[in-house]
Amino acid sequence: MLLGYISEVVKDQPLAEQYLISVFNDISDKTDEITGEGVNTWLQLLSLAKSKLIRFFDTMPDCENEVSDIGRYNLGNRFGKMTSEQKQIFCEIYYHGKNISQLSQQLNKSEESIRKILKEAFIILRRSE
Amino acid sequence: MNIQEYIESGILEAYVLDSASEAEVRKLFYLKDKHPEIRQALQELERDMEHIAEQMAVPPPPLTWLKIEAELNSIIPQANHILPRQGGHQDHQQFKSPKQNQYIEVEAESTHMRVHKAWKWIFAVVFILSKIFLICTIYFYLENKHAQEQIQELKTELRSKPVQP
Repeated sequence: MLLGYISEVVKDQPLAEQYLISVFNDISDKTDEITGEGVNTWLQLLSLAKSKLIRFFDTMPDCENEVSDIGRYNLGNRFGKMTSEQKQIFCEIYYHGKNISQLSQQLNKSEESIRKILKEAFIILRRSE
Repeated sequence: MNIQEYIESGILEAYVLDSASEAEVRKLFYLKDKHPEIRQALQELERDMEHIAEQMAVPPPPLTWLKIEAELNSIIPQANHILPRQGGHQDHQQFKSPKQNQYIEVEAESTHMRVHKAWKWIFAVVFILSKIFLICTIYFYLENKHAQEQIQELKTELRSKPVQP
């Protein structure tokens, strides 16, 4: 799963593998945080992977330019049901590692409205399962 | 606070995508413990998120795990080598954490060997047979000794009797 996410972001199998190895190197120090009671291990791993990908995220173009080519991500079919705004916000957060406050500045929208749009995007994603 | 409004605000989605601020995460954890509806909504969202990720999963190439293992093995000796030289407070604390002190690396060579359980019955049979052979050996030794004595007695008897014409 983790390799799937990283591969989606970097679009380069050997590089994705390197990132995966790097994530696993850190896991040994964070076993309690990742596998603790009430903790969702997948989300912790995702967070760890995103922290490793920070520098890579900086090199990525904004999703605004990618929305038309959103099919490069495996969520392509699901993206089809979203508005361009929902696609952009989900893409920026999930694939480009941006946070709500960064997006708020980038899109010149309030954080509340960004969260609302993200919520709507999620509803479409969950319905498309 | 209206719990439903909070759930609908998109804060849970921001959290599962690791895009919420620290203050928002702290508040969410506090409210999650207090309100079961929030906890349930978050758990459902986490499950769905995991499910979506599962659908995007890519099987790792066959050698990936070996590479990870090799990398981890190369890190462990490095860490052991660096430990005595590190003077930094943070590193010192990291290496001296109680969790890590629970484990001591021990270089041990076991003097025991592992064998298949079937050998237990083979050893038992061999042991019983050896006892039977031992008893037989003692029995035949005594029998032989007794026979030798009888032969000796007969010889002595024959020698002591005068030869009759």
